[in-house]
Amino acid sequence: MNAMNTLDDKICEQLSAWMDGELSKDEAMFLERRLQHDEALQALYSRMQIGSSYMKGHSARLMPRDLCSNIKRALEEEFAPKKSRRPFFAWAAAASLAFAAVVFIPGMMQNTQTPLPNIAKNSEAAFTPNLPATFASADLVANSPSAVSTSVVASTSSSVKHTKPVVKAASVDVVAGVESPENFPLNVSSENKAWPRSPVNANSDPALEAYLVRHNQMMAQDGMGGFVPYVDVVAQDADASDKSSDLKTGENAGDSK
Amino acid sequence: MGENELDLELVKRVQSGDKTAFDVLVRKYQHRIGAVIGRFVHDYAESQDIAQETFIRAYRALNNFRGDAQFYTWLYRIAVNTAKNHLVSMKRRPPTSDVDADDAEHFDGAYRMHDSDTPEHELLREEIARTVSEVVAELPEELRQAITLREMEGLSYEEISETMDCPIGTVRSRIFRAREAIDLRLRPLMDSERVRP
Repeated sequence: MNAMNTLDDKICEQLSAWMDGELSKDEAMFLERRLQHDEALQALYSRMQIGSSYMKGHSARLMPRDLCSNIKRALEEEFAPKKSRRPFFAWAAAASLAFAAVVFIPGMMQNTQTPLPNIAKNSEAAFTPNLPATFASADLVANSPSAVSTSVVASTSSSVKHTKPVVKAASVDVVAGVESPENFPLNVSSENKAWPRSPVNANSDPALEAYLVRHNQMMAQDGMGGFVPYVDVVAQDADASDKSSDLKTGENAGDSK
Repeated sequence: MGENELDLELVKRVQSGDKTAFDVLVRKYQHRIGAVIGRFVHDYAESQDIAQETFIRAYRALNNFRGDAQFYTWLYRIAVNTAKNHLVSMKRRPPTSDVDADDAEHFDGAYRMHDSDTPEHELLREEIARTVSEVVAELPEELRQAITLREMEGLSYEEISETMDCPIGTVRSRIFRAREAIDLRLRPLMDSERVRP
């Protein structure tokens, strides 16, 4: 057929029948699919429609070839599922946080070395920022100097005054802001613990014993006291241990209040 | 299957999510809707935009189409309203009187309604109409009768086969050959640049 150069007679006849609704369903489906992509078939359909309209007495105005594709594109844009912007914002937020972390955290880390303002001083009994985190259990926390009430600390310093150690450490590591075991506020409840017993004779060197008690507690403060940092390995005589067990009971009850 | 039944089937397919069916409806009615809009809007580019808007609005509202009216009548009203809204938005006064879709299609003076079209398009339209009439008149008798019964009388292939006392396949072939002859003459007119400014 010369009128439809690239189209064969069969498809053209099918198009004509399809326009009249006289094509089988399968053939119609096939033709409609082809009509979506075949420009020659689209042009033929347009001309046939115009001719048909004029024969029926309908007025027609030839529309541009791309009208259908424009409508199709507009509808696809309008009814396509909207892509969520969340991933973009999530990535942007993550990137911002990462940037902030890189820029600000080193500075914050440096600031933690400086003493805290008054707020920290006022709440020293309840919270000691300079105290490094440990794996201590609740008991350990209760026994740590930071958990001891101010009154207990005050009474401790007065009660152990007589046991000022003679032995001076050649070099004392700075642990939790306490430079020397001598200055470390002793926990009375720990001092009065009945166990375990040390083979060191308590009466032989009270200064040594006092030093050991402070040193042990100080090291236990940040979990660096050896295998059992929370165990007070001190030398005390048997009488003192009996007496201290009674004290211990009362002290723990006070702590738990 | 009649024109309205054919449209209803396409509409049902669109309503069930078949976008291809809407594409078919667009291709089928774009030129007629273009003519409707041309009565309101002089500019060809503007009429294209309004035609596009008309079909987009129709697609949005198609789920509400129940088939009480003919699809083309429904689409015609959307086109008229869209064109009027466009004129109002452009601070131009839409025509006060309107012609109903059914009346407009068979309005005796339909060509007089194209006052707003350009002279060039008007000339082309007249040329196409004259060409179609000439080709139909020149067709062999069996082809002319078949295409006339189909296009002007609206008979189905089965009814035409009974009227002409021939198989349906023959009717199908005759109608196609008649259209082919018309297309052969229309093609140079419609492919020319003056059709698509």
